[in-house]
Amino acid sequence: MSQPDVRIEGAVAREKFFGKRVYLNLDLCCGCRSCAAACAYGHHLQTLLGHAKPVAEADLPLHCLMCDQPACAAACPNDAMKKMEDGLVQRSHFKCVGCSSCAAACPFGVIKPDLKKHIVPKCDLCIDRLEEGEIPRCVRACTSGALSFQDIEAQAEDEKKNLASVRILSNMIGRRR
Amino acid sequence: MVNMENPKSEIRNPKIARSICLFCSLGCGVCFRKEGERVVQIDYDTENPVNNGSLCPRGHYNLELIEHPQRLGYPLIGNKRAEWEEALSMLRSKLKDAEPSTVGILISGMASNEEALLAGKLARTLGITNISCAGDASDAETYGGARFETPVCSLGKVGEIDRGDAVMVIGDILNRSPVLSQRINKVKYGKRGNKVIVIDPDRSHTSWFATSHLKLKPGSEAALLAGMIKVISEDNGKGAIDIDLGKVAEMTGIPAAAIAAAARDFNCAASGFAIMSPSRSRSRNDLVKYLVRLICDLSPNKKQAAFYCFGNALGVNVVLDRAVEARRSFAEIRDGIINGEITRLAMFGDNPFAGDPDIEKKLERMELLAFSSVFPQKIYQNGQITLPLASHLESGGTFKLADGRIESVEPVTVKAGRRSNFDIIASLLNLGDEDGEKLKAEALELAEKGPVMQKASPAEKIAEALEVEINETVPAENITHFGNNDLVRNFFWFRANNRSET
Repeated sequence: MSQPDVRIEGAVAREKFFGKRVYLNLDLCCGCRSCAAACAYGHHLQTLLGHAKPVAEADLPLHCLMCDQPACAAACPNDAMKKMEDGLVQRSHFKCVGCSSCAAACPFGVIKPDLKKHIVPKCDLCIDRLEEGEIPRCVRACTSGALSFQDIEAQAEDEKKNLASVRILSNMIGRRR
Repeated sequence: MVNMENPKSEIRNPKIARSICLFCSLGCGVCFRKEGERVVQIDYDTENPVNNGSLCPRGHYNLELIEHPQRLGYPLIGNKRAEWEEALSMLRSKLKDAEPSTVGILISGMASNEEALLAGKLARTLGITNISCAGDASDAETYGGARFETPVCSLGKVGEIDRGDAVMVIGDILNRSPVLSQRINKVKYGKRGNKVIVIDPDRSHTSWFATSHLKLKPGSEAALLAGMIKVISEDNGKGAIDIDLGKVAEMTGIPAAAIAAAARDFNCAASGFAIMSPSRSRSRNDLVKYLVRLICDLSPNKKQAAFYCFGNALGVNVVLDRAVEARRSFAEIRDGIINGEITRLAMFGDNPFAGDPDIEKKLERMELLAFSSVFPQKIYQNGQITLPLASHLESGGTFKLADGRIESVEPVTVKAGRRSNFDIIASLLNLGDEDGEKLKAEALELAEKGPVMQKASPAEKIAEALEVEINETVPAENITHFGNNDLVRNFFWFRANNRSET
């Protein structure tokens, strides 16, 4: 009885998602935090997803951008953060000592240390679901259709249509305090 | 079936069980991944036309109704563990001994139609009239508004919201049912000239999407709607209404021109939908609900729906109305407990009085206090009976949701050691298994009939709307959110530093 190697199957499935990232359309986001809840329930109650609150009503998810030259990986003293061949920045569960150097180094405020569990959770693009051929949990759960999982090139085109900056700026100017 | 060649096959091809979420009355579809009989993970029901696979944070909590480690697993009498038979016989004898006028029965808004029917039968056999749906206080009020007769039945389906050209939202609906945001977004960005009118005293997540936000004084929703009815009725040639827009403007704090403009925006749209969200802080939910229905009747091609805090609040109320004649409302039962008229109380489902100091003192001195609940409840006295409840995910049933559709749900897992409200009340009534099918058919028939209507005259109700007390001292300030601002600070710190460098 031969056992197929599950890891290799997964790697093949993952190739399809090499160029894909989660993208947030700021016009549609209603700040319901379903993405954070989906993330927490999928990752043993660790919230891997940060949140930003530029104005009172908007409460926006902050996804890891998977930088080309990740500052978190450079700052990590134990080589726990690594830029993989498929483009994802991954954190090793075993190597991470929870020193939160990466949280300090991240220029976008995406990584946030979990002080109770003494770990630093980080977005892994729901690899377990990608291997099944599905999309990440936050995108699936999004109530308003603001999050999408698409090619990086398509995102650049989509960004031109996005009125987000206009909406946020107009609301910030309109505020009194 | 486990594939022996691939050790991970059971995880890769999990069994998936479907159900619906009852944490609000939208009734989104939820899936559960199972390994054997154990529910492992929550999944997303992409085939459900209501939510198209999305799920709000509250929807994710459905997993905990089944698999939470701190769930109540055995009956309690006071602090002590008891057997099912002991607890049930104690409850049965205490219900039978009492005078009917001193007994109150409350059934949760998440109970199924069959459970509501059985509770109604229990009340009828014992002669009890103090029976009500124990949802939120605003649920009972909103249902009261749905009972007044209007000329046309304008109740719309959830799927019709995004097909319209205008949406009018009363209250912060995206806080209660965020899944509606995909439909509201479709209206807003669908076509040039589409309107999203939000009537809410607060700046909220919903007002963020408004094309016109009427930020009125708290409690003056009814007056504002009365003003809009005047404008719409006179525009459409359906008779003049004798109220002064100037007075409405004074009451609501919104200029008369803005009220008229919003009313005309909604009226002139080819088709539209009015959504009312439940709110405990709003005064006269019933009047607001009636006036919303009236607006949708006067204006062509308009539909409306009011959402409730609890999934089956509409169904339970409808079935109880049909099953028990002249029953008392939730507010009257609450008053009865405070006055000391009601001394024995049985609550099937969660405790609606938790955190209500006026009533919690009274609960300590009750002759009978019985709960059935999924999670451990506060223990008020030594004789309190607490029964472990199997939620709708473990018992199934039929549910009537906000837009009037009826969904039947099958159990996701088997219940171990817990019993549903259906089983508990059936054993109180000594019913056999044979009656189950008959009851299901009867409950479905009652639920489909809809609420028992009362007569009401529009002119009186509109005049009433201008006499609602407005509490101006409540601050209509910006919403507060539970998130902390650490990340934002980091974000702005980075931006500020970068700017100074360049």
